[in-house]
Amino acid sequence: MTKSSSVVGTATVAAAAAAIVISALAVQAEPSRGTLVVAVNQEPQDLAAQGAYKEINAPGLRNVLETLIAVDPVSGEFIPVLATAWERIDGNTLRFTIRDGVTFHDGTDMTAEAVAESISWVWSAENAFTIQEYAGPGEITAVAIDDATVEVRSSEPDPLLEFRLSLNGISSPTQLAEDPARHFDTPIGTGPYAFVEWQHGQYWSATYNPDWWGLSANDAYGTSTPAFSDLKFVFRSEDAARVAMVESGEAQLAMFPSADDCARGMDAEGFNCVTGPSTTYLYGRLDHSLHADERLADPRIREAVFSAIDIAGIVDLYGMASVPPGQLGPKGTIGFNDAVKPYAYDLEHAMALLDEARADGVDVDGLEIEIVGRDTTPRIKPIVEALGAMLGMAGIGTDIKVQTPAEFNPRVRITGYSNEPGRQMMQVHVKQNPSGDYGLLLLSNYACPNIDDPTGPSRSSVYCDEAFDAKLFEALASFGEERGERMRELVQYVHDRHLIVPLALLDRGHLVEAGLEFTFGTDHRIQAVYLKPDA
Amino acid sequence: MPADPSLSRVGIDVGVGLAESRQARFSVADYARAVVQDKITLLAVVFLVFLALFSVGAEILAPFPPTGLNLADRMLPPGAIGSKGAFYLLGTDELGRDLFSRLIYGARVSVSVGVLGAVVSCALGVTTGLTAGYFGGLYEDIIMRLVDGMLSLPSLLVALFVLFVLGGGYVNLILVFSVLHWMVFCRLSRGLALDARSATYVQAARTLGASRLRIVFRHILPNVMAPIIVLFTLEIAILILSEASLSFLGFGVQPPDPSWGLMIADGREHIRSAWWLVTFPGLAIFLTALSLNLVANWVRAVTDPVQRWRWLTGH
Amino acid sequence: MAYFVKRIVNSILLLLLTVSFVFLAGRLIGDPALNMLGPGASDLALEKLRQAAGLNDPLWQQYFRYIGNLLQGDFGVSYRFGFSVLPSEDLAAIGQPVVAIVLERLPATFLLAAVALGLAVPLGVLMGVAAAANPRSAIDRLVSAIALAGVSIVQFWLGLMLIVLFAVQLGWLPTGGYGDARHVILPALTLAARPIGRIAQITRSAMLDELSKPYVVTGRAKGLSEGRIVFLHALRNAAVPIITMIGDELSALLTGAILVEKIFAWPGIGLLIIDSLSRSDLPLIQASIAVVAALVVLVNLLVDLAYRVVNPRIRLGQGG
Repeated sequence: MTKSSSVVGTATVAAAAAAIVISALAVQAEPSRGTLVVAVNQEPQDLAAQGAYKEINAPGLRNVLETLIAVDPVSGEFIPVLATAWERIDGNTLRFTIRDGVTFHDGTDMTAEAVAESISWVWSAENAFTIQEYAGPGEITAVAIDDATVEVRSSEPDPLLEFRLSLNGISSPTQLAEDPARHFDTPIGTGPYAFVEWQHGQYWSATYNPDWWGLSANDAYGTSTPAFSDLKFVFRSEDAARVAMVESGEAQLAMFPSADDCARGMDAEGFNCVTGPSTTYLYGRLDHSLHADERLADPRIREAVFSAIDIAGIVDLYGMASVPPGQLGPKGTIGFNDAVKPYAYDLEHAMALLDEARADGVDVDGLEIEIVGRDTTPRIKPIVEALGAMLGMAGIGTDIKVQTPAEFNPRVRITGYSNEPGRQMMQVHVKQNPSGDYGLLLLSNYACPNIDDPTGPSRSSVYCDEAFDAKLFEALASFGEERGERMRELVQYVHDRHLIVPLALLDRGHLVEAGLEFTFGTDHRIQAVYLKPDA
Repeated sequence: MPADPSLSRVGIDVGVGLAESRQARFSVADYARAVVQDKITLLAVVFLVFLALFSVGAEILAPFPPTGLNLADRMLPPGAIGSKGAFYLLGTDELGRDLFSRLIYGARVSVSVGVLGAVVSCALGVTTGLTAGYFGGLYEDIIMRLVDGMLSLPSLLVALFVLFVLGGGYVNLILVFSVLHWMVFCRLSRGLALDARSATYVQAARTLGASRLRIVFRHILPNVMAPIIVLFTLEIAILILSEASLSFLGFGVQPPDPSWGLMIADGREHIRSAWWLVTFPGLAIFLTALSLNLVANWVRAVTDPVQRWRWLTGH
Repeated sequence: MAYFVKRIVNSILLLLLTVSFVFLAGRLIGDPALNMLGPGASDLALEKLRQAAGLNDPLWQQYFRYIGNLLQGDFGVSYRFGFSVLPSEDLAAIGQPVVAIVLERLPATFLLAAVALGLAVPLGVLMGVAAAANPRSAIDRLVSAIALAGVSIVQFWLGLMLIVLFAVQLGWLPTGGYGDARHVILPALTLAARPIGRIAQITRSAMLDELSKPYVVTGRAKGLSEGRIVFLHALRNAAVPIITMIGDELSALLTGAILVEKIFAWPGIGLLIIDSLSRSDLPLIQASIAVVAALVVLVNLLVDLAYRVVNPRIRLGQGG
């Protein structure tokens, strides 16, 4: 993640230099090519405006639904989309200047009112959309203060408000008023492509929007004008099937090729594999405070477990990934701590620690650590099998499991275990942190969850430490350099306690037809305006 | 022509062997010679014997452990020599585990699921079927209505759903198979018992005052074993195929147990770069099912009164 | 006639039992709302889903409501569009009726099954006839070998191999998906492998029976052509077990389609079942299982009735 930290205070951003260059190319022209077929790994749950926050929710949705501002895939900076400028008023408030002359695909005008309504709808706590996973400390609402200006407020000071406003799609409020049910399967946005149809089990499609504002604007985003007449996102859950589609020319782009297929793509005729870092991290969370087996509170046992894991080996096994820097966030994240180093792989040290514990009468040999992954996580099976084998080499008993979401999800929450014997579980899971800030990472992974209300942001945490929590909440409310300083301290604190072992920072690859140049950032969004055919 | 449409599923004629069961007697040696003379069946039997040996003696016979980790020897092709001079007959998988050894341990899992599932459903089905056929009455009516009902349900789908609810795993798989496959045995053995009711040896036993249960299990059962053995063999093949399907979908045997279906599922991701990971487990299932089918055909042929004479005398 | 009525009533009772079983078993896996929404769901979202789907009522009330609605053809609405979002208290206004989702997928599965059967029946019968007409010949051996291979192969494995060979290496056919005629070839072939084997086997043995009967000998003596004897007389008389087997295989096709549809991304009901299981979309799981079970029961019923009509030698009412 190379995105620079968002500037606090006034942040009126002029159009990025790159965008100006592009605008020279932005002439009104018919698309030069036919349908772009993208092989995606799963069918979306819905195509609602809120779903645009994570590409994986509905790959390609951002071709139809646009945001106020977006993260430039190259520079990592915020760039204007439906807002031409924005300004920090105070800790709670942002003011956006709305682009003039934009119409929704249903023909209605995108007024400041419409934008405000759409934002309030998506972020409403009442609606409880999944976008709340990236919600800030307060509830976000928006009002139009004049024809061209929308003011967005968070009920609590929110240093990352710009980031949150780069997430939600803006959709037609007319549809919400007239036919709300269709909001979830028929997105009406402002993008370069207009939604056409969703054939359940097969694909969803969109067609070129000749009225797109970007064709005449001089600060339109993208590396090219829309080159394809239509877009088709085809659902293929089988990895091999997606790859085969690109190989046989049925598709121009395929998501999530395996490391093998990507390697083959590197020197194949007709298609390439392009890879880049993502903000997704793979980690192992070892039970600690809540309903955990008491042996896991023994620092020697914890250190032994972490020392027995060959992280470089896991990364190698995963394929497209890199060794994480001993912490969950990549370099560049606010709060990143340079002093923290990856847990060292040292089998002898692990065994010595276990012997020491054994000598003190700890029942080390009776340990049976459950290593659990969810079957929807890519490559989870070899990973948990390898972890089991690694702990086994140190003499730690394991029981490995790959579970369906229905089995796994309830086990993530620590609730419901009070009547069971102490749990010894290491959850192996992936998470994303696109915010470029350690706040969410620390809150969701280390803060003590409320056992009675298992829905808070820390619901999957297994760690309870009052001193830590107090410091964390101070850090979360702070801005600027102070925020980074406080977070860095906490990153070191949790590292020393062997709570979570970062296993890999994941790269993501795409198979792309030869002659197509695909530009993407750490969020790996598939947008046609970032796919540039060779001249 | 089968007297009952469901029996055509297994291609078994209810009348098989009954009429002559007490007549021409052949020794074990006759059967053994017949197997040896039929080369294909011999091959099938040899394959199954090896399979059984490997399943039982996996610890001794497999050159490497089935689990564990050897990152230095990942994804080696068949016949490769590993980093420490190890020879990998069928190559290695992505954790550097020997595929041949995993196939051997996988045989234990896959074959035992098939055999145990068939044993339990056979015991259940034959007991209910023979008693239903011999006792008759309301008992028979209830049993057969249950059988008819369950037979007309899509068993793979029901298995999928039940495993979704219960969670997969070795034991659950066998349980589900037993509950969903006893009906074929029941229907077959009921038909056999119905026919046997009027057989002279049963009437003789009855006049001698044998109890009804004794007649069913001591007199009828030994005389109707042949078609049951045929069905049993075929069911093992069907269960091994079902296990593979369910494990492939993630609802069957759970890792790190190396079942064949699971191995195909794992290898699928590497189908282009490491063909051996998918090909060999698939072949193992194919050969096993094929051998079982061949053996079943042979048993059916030698126990068929018309064909037996030809088979056993070599004419 | 009484037998027919009894048989139909039995089938309906069986379906009712199946649906009840699926409903109750579905509740064993825990809170349906939590399973559906996942651990990321807020209390508010959970509560909304529970309210909207009536999950807070006592189980028996839910059960009777479910059965009652079902009798009116209403299987409930999918949680799919309610996944993240329940802006309205009224789930029915947002969710899609599951019955519509299931019906939308049926034609694809029917098409696949029809093509597979369309391949399997003529091929299987021809192979069986050829083998029976030339017993113990090379043809007979070949047919037996193919038939045995067909029933011994793992369907999904065959599918994977066909994709690698025909779609990727040779590039002749698409790798999967739904579209023109070329898309159906590989999945139908995969699905047909087993029925081809089964039909060839049963045809061979039924024909062998027929061809050894006196009327065949008489026919030959009268100088009727061999083709006339085989196809006009013997095959017609052997039709009963063959048709029974075809019916049997048709119901097997409907469930076998689950794996084949997954491998080939064929948007039929099998793929829907896998998707709904992996999403824990309980109403959709219940409906799709009920529909497939109903189809299979219906096919079995029809085959059974047809069998007894075609073959009056079977005493009606025998066997329950």
